[in-house]
Amino acid sequence: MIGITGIIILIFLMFLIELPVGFAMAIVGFAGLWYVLTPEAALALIGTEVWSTFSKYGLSVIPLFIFMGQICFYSGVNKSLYNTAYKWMGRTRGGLAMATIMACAGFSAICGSNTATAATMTAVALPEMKKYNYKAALSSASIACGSTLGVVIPPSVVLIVYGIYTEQSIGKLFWGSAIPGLVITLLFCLTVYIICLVRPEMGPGGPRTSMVEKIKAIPGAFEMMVLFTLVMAGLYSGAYTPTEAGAAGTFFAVVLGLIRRKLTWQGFVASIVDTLKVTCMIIVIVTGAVIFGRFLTISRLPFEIADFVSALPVHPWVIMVCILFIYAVAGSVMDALGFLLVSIPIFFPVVTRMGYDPVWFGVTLTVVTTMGAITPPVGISAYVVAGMDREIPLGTVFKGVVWFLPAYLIATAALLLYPQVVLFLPAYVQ
Amino acid sequence: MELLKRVNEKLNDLFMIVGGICLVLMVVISCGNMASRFLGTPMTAAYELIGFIGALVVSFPLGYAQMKRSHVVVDILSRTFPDGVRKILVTISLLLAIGFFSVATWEVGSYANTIRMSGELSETLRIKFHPFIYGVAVACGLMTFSLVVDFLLLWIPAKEAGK
Repeated sequence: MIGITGIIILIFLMFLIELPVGFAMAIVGFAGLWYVLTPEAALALIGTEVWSTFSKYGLSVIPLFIFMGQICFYSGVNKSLYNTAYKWMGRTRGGLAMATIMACAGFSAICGSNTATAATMTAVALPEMKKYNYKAALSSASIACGSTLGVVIPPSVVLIVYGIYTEQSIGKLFWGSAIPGLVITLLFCLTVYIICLVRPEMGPGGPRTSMVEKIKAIPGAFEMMVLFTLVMAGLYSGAYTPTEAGAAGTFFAVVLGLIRRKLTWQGFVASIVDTLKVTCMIIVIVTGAVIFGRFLTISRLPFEIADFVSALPVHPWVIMVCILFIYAVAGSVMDALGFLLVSIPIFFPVVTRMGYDPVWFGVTLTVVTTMGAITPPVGISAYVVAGMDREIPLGTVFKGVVWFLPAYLIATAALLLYPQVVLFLPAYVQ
Repeated sequence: MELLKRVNEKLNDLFMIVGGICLVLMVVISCGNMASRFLGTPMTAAYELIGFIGALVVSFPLGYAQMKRSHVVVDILSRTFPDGVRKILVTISLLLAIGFFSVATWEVGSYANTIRMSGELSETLRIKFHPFIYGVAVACGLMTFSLVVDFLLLWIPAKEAGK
């Protein structure tokens, strides 16, 4: 009962009084511990939990991967990636939108942030698509949807946090999300292709480019390929820890940025400032979730829910669909990472009790909650695109986004029906 | 009020600089450890050092992130409220946050005291690590100060306008 009361108060604090998600979880968790244990125990626990969470070696992976992405962002990797995709795909009908999605996928593979990808690709790709008379609904939606790939395609910050929180291998999670990320990217491109097949005026063909131009553009994808290979190969072979992969990625991103004379001192400083801000925001949520999770564990609510749900006379598959539906709805009203951390202590024991693989669950969750970043009322990526180009109303972005939703649904159904899509590669991770 | 605001900004800028240096240090130590491992002489203390420095990396920007409104807020419902109601709700929110971070500052500081007085050393490096815990306590204190400044800024300009 006390656990349920805590959740109700948490929802009240988050939705009614605008208390930041991490603060709300920490405060409710602290108050709950105070009530369930003793005031002295609750107070002492705050001191030790804050220190132990902040100083956890496993969490140091977060700033390092964010730093790598920020360095790439300020080195203009996104521009060169888009240029490569543009030269190869721009000529075909809807090709610029497909090039945008591919560039988003590529940039996500090293950045891992929805909003950074949405902002940067809006600046880079939207003017081009406007120039070639792409309809605003298609151009803006392709950026908004493409930017969400950052959460699925490794290295994803959401997967890192999920891995640390549920004690799963980050390497396995990264490799598990590689195929789903690729599948969703292709499904997005297929969506654009079908839209332009039915309504050619939505995305007219771009300018012709010669084979020489195409080949000359290939080095534009060089940084992305190098960093992605470096990180994933190291994790696959077990040569280094995720934290070291992030550090090595950052180091090479700096070196490549300097060699290509794209990274300035101002860019380097700005990438540090942004990294610290984003890291702090994430760690505050994680710390809040740790304190809240401690309270829930003591209240025994997650175990009681797990017992209750696993005893229900329905197929586990039905329960899983219900859980994913909750995540899809919740993802559309609040930040994906925030909800993930609020809900994991409740749903994770249920899912493992039903016999589902934790790596599969983590990857499927990211796909489902990612949808929330583009669906109303709180579609953060859609907000960023509409916010950066005042000529495009938010309604137009959301209208275009609707066309891409079947791609998400197909991908989710595929993950449910064929878990091997996720579990195939992690089986080989050392 | 203006003075408090400026002090808050300066202090947070200073903490960001230290946090930034710590972030770069983390990269250097991690890469150094990888390189030395390949050469057959791994730095055994690297994990411990990264943990300690990482604590400063995540705690020192707390106040700055608050100043820049970087913390995730769910305002889907509250933004539909009238301004007056919203202001009162934000006040309650700030007071709760001030209360929590005051407790966190005190308790992390107390924990650092306990470690210092017990003479506890880190497991691998065998160094006194309580200065890092004090660092986190100070960062929580600065966060509390930033929240107090936010609270004052929310109400004092209104009072001045009414005079």
